[in-house]
Amino acid sequence: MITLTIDGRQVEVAPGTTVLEAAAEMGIEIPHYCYHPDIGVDGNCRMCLVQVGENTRKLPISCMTPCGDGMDVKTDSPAVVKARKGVLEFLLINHPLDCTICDQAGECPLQDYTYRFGPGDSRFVEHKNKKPKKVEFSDKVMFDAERCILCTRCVRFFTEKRDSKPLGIRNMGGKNEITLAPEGPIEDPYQMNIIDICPVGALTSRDFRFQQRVWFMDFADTVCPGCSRGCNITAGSYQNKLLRFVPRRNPDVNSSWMCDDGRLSYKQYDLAERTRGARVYGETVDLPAAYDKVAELVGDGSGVGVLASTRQTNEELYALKNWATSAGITSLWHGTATWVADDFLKQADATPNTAGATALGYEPAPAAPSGLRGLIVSGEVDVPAALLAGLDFLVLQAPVGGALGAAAVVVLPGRTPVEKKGVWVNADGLAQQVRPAISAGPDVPEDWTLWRDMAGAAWPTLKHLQDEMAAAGTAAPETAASTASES
Amino acid sequence: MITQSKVLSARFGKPDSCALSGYREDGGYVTYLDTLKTGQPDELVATVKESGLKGRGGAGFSTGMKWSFVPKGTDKPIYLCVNGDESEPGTFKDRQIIEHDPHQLLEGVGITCFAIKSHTAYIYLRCEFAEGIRKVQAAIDEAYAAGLFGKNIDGSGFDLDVYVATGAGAYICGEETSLLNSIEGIRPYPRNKPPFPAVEGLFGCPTIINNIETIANIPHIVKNGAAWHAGLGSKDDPGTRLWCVSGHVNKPGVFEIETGFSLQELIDGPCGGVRDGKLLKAVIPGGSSSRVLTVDEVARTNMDATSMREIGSSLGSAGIIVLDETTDMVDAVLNLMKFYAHESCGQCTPCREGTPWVVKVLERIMSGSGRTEDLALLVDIADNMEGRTVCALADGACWPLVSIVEKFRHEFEAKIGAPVGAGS
Amino acid sequence: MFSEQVIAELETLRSHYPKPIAAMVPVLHIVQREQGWCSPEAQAWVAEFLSVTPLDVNEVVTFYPMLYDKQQGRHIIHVCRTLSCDACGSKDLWKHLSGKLGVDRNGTTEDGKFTLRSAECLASCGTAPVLLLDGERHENLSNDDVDRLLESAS
Repeated sequence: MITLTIDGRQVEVAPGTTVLEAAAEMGIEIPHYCYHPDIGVDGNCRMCLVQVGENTRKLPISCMTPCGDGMDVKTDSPAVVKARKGVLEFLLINHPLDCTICDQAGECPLQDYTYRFGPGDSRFVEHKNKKPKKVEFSDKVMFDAERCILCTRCVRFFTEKRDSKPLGIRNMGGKNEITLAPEGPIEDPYQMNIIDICPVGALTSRDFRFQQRVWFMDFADTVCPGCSRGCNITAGSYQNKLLRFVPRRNPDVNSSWMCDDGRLSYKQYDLAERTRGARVYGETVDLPAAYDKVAELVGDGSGVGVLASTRQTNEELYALKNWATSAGITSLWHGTATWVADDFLKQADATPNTAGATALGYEPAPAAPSGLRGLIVSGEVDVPAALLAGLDFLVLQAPVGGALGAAAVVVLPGRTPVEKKGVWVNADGLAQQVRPAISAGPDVPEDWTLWRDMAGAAWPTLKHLQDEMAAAGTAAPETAASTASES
Repeated sequence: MITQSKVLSARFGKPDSCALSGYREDGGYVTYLDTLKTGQPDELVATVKESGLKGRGGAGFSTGMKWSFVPKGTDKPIYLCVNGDESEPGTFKDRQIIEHDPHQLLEGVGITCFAIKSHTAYIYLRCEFAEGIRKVQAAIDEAYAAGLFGKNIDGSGFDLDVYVATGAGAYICGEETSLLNSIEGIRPYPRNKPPFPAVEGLFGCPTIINNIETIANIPHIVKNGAAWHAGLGSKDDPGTRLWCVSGHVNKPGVFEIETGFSLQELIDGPCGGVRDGKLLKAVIPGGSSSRVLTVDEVARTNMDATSMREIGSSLGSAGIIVLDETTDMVDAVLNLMKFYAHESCGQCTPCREGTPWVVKVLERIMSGSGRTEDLALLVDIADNMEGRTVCALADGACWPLVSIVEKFRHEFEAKIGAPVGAGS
Repeated sequence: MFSEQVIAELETLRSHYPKPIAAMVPVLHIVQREQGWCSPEAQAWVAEFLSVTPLDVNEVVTFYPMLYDKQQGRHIIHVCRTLSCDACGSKDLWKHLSGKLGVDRNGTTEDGKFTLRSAECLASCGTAPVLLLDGERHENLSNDDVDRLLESAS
């Protein structure tokens, strides 16, 4: 172990730890741009300069300085404060004053560091360099060369994490510019991650472009519903409409990344039509009436099966199972949905909670059951044609009725994955908190309350349900370690 | 009185000085072949260390000490790169060696490679040296044909391949790690250090990079001994050097002189004094990346490392630029700052943004739109660049900038606030 | 794209290095010698020859001042602009050349014969002012010397 002093405090670190990492361990933030914990170092931005010992003429960069035994590091000495202010001033002199039209504003590390460490006003009275401003790197990513600070995180994301090089650097000196490969637009299915890691508004999402100012938006830390990887995300919305998903850093799950498909999947939750309240034979009824009808249809439970979506939370699945058991239903199945997996993050299972459903005792839906007279479908799920054959009745509890709802005797409302609160378990068995990003609106109660009321169970709040689940030793809602999004 | 030497330049001006036959007639390659037969690498490194030889590229680091940084017992190939990128303004000495006595360089390469246990050397030449590239390649071809390079040289069991590599017009490639990236075929940004090239250099392997003139010294040191070299010139930077003088002198050129002589005597003696009977105004002594000397300072400057440190400048690349009273010092510093801004590779923030900013401020001062605060601004921009960058290019810009602003302040002040058209 | 002889030359250069990419700059110089510039097609050819991507080649071509990704005139003139040459008359030399050829910096004459560029220190400060014509150095130049040089270029 190595012992060194940072800002007057001693710390012990493993050999190979950099000064920047050691400081972070101590809770000392050293501002930086080109370093990224999940991409690595490049040493070009010079923001993370520190003073080692008494030498104020040469300030090393902490991201590439290995801790040495007995080192005396200062991250806020007068020399460092001045040098850091100088670096920010240099970054700002040619940076266009685009804040008023730049999507990055409000979540911009250049704004943030300038406010905290930078010069109060500009000493630059010359003409700024002109560079291309609206360069389509792809149909997903827009590039503005004037805003770019040439940290090269974008280039290195592809070379370090994706083993490819769709972006490079052209020209020399002040004319340096990030450039597309001659072959054309970026095609990588993870390309939108460069938008998140770009410290300025040089790389922006064309999908989110000019949609909304982030300081007006609401944010929820939740999990991507796209597949069983369970990438941690932050869902952003405005006036109850989802505007974007961005990844949230979790070294145990998704690092700092998510796939573009998952990122853009927020759009599907803006429902044109959805079920509000309950319907029986197409006529609106109150919930108790609908529950009575369900009980009547189910009877003693024989010949009735339950098919649950693996997009349901553990709590919803537990409450459903609780009712089904009390209603005499023994066939508890879960649906499946797949998409093409890849070697990076995407799992073949295109739903977020198959592991949770399995742990709760749900089994994969059979290919061809016999003797089914009734089916209870919960959540958004593809119902195998075999299960529908010869049914006397169908009950659907889901956000959208659709064709299945038209065929159902009883239709109950449901919340989408971005409106739920609860737990999903990912493919690695990690249980993660799901939080609602938007409200479902009137007459769409939380899914678990429907099954509670049908069973007459005694869970006044979700917490009561979760406590019972914990006591029963069922999929303990262990919160996965997650940090604030690395900017 | 300046005494000129003839060690490195002994064969310049001889007819067919580049030919192998002439070089061998003058005793060339004997030291090399003896070294291959009976030399000991560790002893050679020690000899060069004891000789006190310092790098002649501009940084002046102890050559022998640099060689000793190569890890012992490494199983990676060890490379020698000879830095022939000579692009420091005011410097034109390395070109003399490759155009007039390339075999001296090659013999130095051979001995150096043996000493550092390298079997592959790249002589990196800037592409603007068309004649030099031809001559070095021709000399290499002669050496191979004579069995001086290649496999099992002279039955010694030592293999050595020597290649010419070329630049393409970028000053930054004279920075040793940029040179490595240039040879590797990628954008030649300098590398952050550590790791140092001696440990992790070309293709990730231990690499020594030495200037052309430095290597040209090696055959002489090995032949005549460390004490011989250490006894030449000044103690703190012994030997002879090829000093370049250009600018406003009657007889510019390259002069081989032992270190420690009087700068004034060089200008007044061999260089024939300031041209056209004009008065001296300033001298930039170590290539443009050195602090300017005023007339008074020139009069008391000896060209040795200690004197230079005391007077606040440096020997650098031995590129002495003489400027007379007709020189507009503001225009002169603008000329140099444009050089640095043009040559900045753009990798790191302070240099990429700072060097062009300095140019813009100076242009504004030249055009008559300067402000009083601009002088303090220039000095502060320099303070925020120096020591904050990946490599020393920005440092090299700061030294002439700050020293000229400070020592010729009155010329800047005269331009500031003057109406447009005046002072240009 | 290139003759057998040229390809043999390129292959020899490539053999000097443990990794083909390292032959990048020497190969590009040959390309430029043969074709006058590094066209997108030539860059793509070099990429394949060195087992790298066209972007890898483009990054290098656009970096170096003496590799051209735009077509140049038949003869390229580089006039040194740095301090010692400037102190010895390069500004006047430039004015003379620029006026005579009728072009600004990096411009090519209408007949495609000359491109006028400036270079930084050409390491011949003692014989200032200095220029390169097609890569060859010419020193101690007066305006008359320059006129003679232009005429001698075919």
